[in-house]
Amino acid sequence: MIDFAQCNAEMIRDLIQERQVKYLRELFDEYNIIDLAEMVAELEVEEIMFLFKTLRKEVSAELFTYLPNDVKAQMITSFTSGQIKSMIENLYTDDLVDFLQDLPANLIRQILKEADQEQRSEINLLLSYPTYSAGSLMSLDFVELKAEDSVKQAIQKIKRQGKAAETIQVCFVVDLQRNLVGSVSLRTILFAQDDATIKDIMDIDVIYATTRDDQEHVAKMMQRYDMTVCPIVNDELRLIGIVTIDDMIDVLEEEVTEDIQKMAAIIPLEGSYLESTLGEIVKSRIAWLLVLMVSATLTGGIIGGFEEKIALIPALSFFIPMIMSTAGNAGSQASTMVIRGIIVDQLDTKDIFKVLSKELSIALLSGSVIFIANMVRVLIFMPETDITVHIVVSVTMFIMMVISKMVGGLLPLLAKKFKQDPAAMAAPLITTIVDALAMLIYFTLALAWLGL
Amino acid sequence: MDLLNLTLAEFRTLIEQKKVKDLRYVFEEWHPADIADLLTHLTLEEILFLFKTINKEQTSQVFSYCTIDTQERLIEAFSGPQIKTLLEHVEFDDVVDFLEDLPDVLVRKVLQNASDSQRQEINVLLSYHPNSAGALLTTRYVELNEEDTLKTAIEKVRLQGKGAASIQTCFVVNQNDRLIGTVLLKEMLTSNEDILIDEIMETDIISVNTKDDREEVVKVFSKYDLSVVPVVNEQFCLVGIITVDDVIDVIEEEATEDIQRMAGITPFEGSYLQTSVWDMFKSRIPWLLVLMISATLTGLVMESYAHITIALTSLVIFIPMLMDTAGNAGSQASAMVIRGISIDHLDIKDFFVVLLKEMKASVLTGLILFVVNVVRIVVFSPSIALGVAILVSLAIFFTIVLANLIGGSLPLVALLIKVDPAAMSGPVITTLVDAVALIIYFNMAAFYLERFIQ
Repeated sequence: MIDFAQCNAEMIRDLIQERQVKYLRELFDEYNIIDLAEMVAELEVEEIMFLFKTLRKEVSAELFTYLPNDVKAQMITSFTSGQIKSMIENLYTDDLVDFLQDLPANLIRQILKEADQEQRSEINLLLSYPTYSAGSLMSLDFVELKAEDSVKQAIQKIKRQGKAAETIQVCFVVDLQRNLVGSVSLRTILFAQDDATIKDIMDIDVIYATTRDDQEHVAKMMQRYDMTVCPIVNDELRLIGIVTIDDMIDVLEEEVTEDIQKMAAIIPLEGSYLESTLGEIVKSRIAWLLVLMVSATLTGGIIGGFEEKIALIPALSFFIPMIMSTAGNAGSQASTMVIRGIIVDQLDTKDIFKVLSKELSIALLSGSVIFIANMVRVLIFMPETDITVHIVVSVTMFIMMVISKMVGGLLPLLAKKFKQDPAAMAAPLITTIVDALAMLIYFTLALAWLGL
Repeated sequence: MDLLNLTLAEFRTLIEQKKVKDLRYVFEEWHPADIADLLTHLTLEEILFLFKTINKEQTSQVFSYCTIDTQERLIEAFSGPQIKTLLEHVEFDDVVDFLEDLPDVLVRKVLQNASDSQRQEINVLLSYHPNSAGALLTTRYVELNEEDTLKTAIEKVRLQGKGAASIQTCFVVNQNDRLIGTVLLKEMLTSNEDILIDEIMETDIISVNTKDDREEVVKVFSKYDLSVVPVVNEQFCLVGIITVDDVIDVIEEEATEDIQRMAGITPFEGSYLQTSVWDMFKSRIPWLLVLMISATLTGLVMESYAHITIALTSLVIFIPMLMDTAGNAGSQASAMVIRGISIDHLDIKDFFVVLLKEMKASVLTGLILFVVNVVRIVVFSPSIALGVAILVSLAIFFTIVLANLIGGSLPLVALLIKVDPAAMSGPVITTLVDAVALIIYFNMAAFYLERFIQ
């Protein structure tokens, strides 16, 4: 007997090579298909083809759903038309469309050729929605009830349509024109009298989204209202499909990734790190690098203006990096908090004075601590440098703490005011702005106090 | 006045004029989340008036959507019987959620008003680590026995289902309470009534342990596309379930934590406006200090190469640009790898794949920056010698390569030594990369001065 708990790609490969059909079938029935798909992805195309011939059709279809897209594309090119046909019959339409979106056009045609009339029109409908719209994500497999149905009829319908449906937790109610008029949870149906009509027990204020709504918007809405299923309607309010919350986890994760990338001066990149090509990675990074490099000229120019004075007291230049990075850090701490506040807690431009006064208090506190810490630090590490220089440096840091925190708090809110993305606009620019201000203040103070 | 689209002012007028009937209608029709939003702007007296006059079930629902500040104010003001009714109507995982953030005095006040069985259940939930699966679970699920016939099972769903958090999936245990399978309700509804649960249940169970970190739980949900996951203890006994809507909130919180770490902030809970100045100060000052002190490193580098800057002061002009570019390149690479670790299970075994990728990407970006920078200096700053322009641009090239390599590898190293990868990025990388950039720059400058100037 084979110990399935020890299953790995090698073991599957051995089973395939020894043509152990019975064990393979048993393995794929027992073991989690998502874990298996990860292992299968490591196999050769011929080996996977053998698996698809051996396994039951439903199991093959499920396995196919969870394979990476490049493997799927390889499989499609190797499949016979009969195999493609049985595959699309056993896949959920939304999973199928999900992967069709990434295929080259000739393969899509090959697949559509094998689909029957009804499937083809469903697929084409889903493919017609923009990539990030609710329409492209929705599932067409759901239970639809009529307002006039009795509870008994409804249960019959659920039994009939339920097997193929994504979820039966909530069923949606339509009128004769298929307009969405209500929703009713399975729980309510199960606890109602058999002869009650759906109209009487349904909830009439349904929260819904349209096919053209942005996925992020739908995800946020479902999160806010604790919804597990959201009905999707077209412009005429006809019920077209549903979106379930488990699909939204990926949308939310993607959104977080985008925000993090934007804050790190990356133009958001789809696809995982390892899957992205070199060209995509370079393209996503180069734009901001160039902009920021060129704009740092400003800071350089400021220093250039003081070049002769630096030549008189070279020690002044030692502190340039520290002042710049401390100012940059303080600014990005503030901007990060405010950007996150805008995204998660609906922080708004009307809160601008609250934000500024909060940042001011924090800055005065942090500035004092930094001032003292820096004086102690330089006295220990650089005792031979002129004490006036140290005082200039520490005072500059105190002032910069205040300015950086204010700018960091202000910029994201300004970006929002001018309808720009706070994460993309504010975060990368903070450092550059703060750097330039830091150098200006530093050398102006030095000039005044050191009598240059 | 349109009761379905009230402004805050109109809502307050309704309260002031004690229009109980209209208010009841609002609570009936509005989603509790929207009402909770309005409540944050009301005075305590106004909210208490609402809680007194409106149906208990509805106010309790609104309560669970309120911000922790409002919840705290309310618990403080509530009488004993009011807390009792609240406990009867609010789901236990929500109760525990706000208890975790309440001061001790108020937790005691709530527990004093709970019945014995409620107190016991709350205490069990409170005993789990706040970041563990245990703290997310709810005990309200439908439990079936392996020997149940489908008919008994459906009866059980009817009985236990009313209060359950999810009836989509039911959980099957054996005599010893061990979790042995799951059954989908739709499977039950479409099968023959006489068969045993044993025959239709799925035995390949995805579950989490009470002690698992909640980040693990999120990964399980997103990997296996689940809507509910059973939580078991060490003996594999079923103790509760976690539903996907609770996990959605965790995603948001974990993301905020990661982003805060990447910006050199010690993660804390609570929104921007709710958090006190002192708490924010505490979360920010450690990294500011650490990074300032470690910037001594760059200071020392500058000091030891002072003879070069004295010989050619125009070199100082390019320091900000060099440092900024280095820092940006480093955090670009680290941001991508950190996200790769938390989403795509990037691992230490991918170390060389990452390194190779960063190497190639950095050579390409470095080349582009090199060309642009030479052209820029020649066009806009003709007073600077071509040699210096090339020197500076070459330094940028090497800095980008090193910054990308360091930025890409440090998060993976953090994983190896079991430190949060996000904490190893942003500020830490910038400091490290700054020092490296300056060393490269000055060494190249020294070489240039020696060969071409003297």
